Amino acid sequence: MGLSLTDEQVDELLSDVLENWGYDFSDYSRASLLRRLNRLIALDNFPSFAEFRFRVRTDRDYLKRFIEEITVNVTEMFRDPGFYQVLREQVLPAIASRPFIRIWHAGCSTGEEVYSMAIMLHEAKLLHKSLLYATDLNADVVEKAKQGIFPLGQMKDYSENYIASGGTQDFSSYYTAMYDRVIFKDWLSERMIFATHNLVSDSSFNEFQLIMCRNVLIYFDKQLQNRVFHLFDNSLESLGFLALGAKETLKFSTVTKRYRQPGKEKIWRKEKDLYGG
Amino acid sequence: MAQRERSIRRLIVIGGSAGSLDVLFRLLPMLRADFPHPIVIVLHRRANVDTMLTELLGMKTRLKLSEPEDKDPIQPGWIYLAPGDYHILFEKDGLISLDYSEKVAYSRPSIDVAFQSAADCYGADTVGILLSGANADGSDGLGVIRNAGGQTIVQLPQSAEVSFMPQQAITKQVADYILDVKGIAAFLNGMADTARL
Amino acid sequence: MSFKVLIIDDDSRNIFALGATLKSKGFRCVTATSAQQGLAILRDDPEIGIVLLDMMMPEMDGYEAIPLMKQIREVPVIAVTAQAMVGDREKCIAAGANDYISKPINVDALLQILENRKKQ
Repeated sequence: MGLSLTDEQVDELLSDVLENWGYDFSDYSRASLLRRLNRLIALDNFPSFAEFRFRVRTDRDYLKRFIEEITVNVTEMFRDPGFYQVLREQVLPAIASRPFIRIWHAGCSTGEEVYSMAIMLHEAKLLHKSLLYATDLNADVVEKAKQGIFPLGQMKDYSENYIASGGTQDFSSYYTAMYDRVIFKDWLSERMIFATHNLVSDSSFNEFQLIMCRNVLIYFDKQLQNRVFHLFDNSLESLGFLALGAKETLKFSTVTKRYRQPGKEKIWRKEKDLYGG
Repeated sequence: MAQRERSIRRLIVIGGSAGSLDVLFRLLPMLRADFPHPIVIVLHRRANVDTMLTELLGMKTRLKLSEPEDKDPIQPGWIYLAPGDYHILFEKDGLISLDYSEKVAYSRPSIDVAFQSAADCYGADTVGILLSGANADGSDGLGVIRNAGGQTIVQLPQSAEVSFMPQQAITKQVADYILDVKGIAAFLNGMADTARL
Repeated sequence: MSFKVLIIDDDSRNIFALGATLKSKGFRCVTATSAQQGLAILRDDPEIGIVLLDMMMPEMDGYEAIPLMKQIREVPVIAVTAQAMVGDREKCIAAGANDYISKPINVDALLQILENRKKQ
């Protein structure tokens, strides 16, 4: 099944990437990283590890591709409709009374989740007083998310997800179709702020009522996950919500004592801050 | 990188698709109650629309069975059912990592991905078992396990509801053993309690 | 002291904490929660002697705001950013910032910058 790197080779590569380009992947899940690396080597037909390593170390343009392919950007709108239904029915009503709503999509990838949230906020009549901060490690991916352009072919699945999550409007009213793509309405993206942010190295930049970080942390090892949970804890208001992916968990982290999981969905609520809230 | 946790003996990874559920319903009750090696079951499944599967399979065995969350540790005496719509991977520190990257041959979880990761992590201590199914997922991965020194078993095609999957592995010559369900149970029960290495 | 410090940040915790700290050290502070608001204040208040600018803000971010500020007046702009990767500092400087401070803010480092400004 092609070239498979050894641990030592992965270590060498990560060390190069950190020294030359400043990206630190050393606390990523090793099994996942190994898979992505082997896949990229095969995809780009590198005959040997040495050639791959050289290219990554010296070619700035290739590095962009490297980062894009090493990090997973697979996402869809209203993914796990049951989860969005709970957001719609329980989480949004709980934050609706705030004068101003701030939501952070950490690891927003190409933006599908952010547009899903904007649609839900609109239907809950909350969009006008909400700001959605969408960040990702990868500047190109963030740029794409800003455009709000998605393949037309995906819309049927997304529409089904949307309906399964409790949506009752005409899903196509949220976008304009052009040839094989759609562009989502700009009154949705007006409430979005896009920026690059690296969960490994960067710190808290605001306080939110809801942080969405779904299927991003699975690519990190346990120690890094814990650091990120602390970052989220620092960025979450008292009684704020943290939403993770369907098979992710807070249970191994040192912040877990202050969070309650009210239902079976992977949504936790931060306990009330008794000292100053 | 840490040495693999010595408390884990060997890792059994069972992959299957159409017709495999029935095999598991028959196989699991036949395993001895003190079976020490952790078992990971990878069935082609969609997103978690039914948690019934975990309960149904759980009822068929005296071993503990769960659907793991990301970074759950692999423990002896447990059976892990790979969740739908994620790939399952194994870390050298004994943890399970879930992965939501592209489907491989339209499958997520992919049996090949699981077999490959198991071989990377457990090497010759891996046992790969491929059951009934309609596509070719798993046969390449079984080859990787074999090359790493692990043992590979396929379900006897005549005993499989859909023989394509195990037959592919036989054609590619990656099967050490070709066994029916009783034979697979006997093989597993006959395994020594310790790791090979 | 002859100048005021303009703090521009959409994170109200920073506005509160920074403002309180600087006031306790004898600095006069003015705050804004958006770049637009900050530009208006800069235009109208000649006593602003230094700007602390959060780089990640809605509507107009720090990178857009810095050149506009420099057009109003040649005032030192300190970029305040949560981003810590190599290259982020250079990006801020390239956008026209005079210096860079990372979140969470090291107050001693900030005070040093402000003391230096005082001396000019």
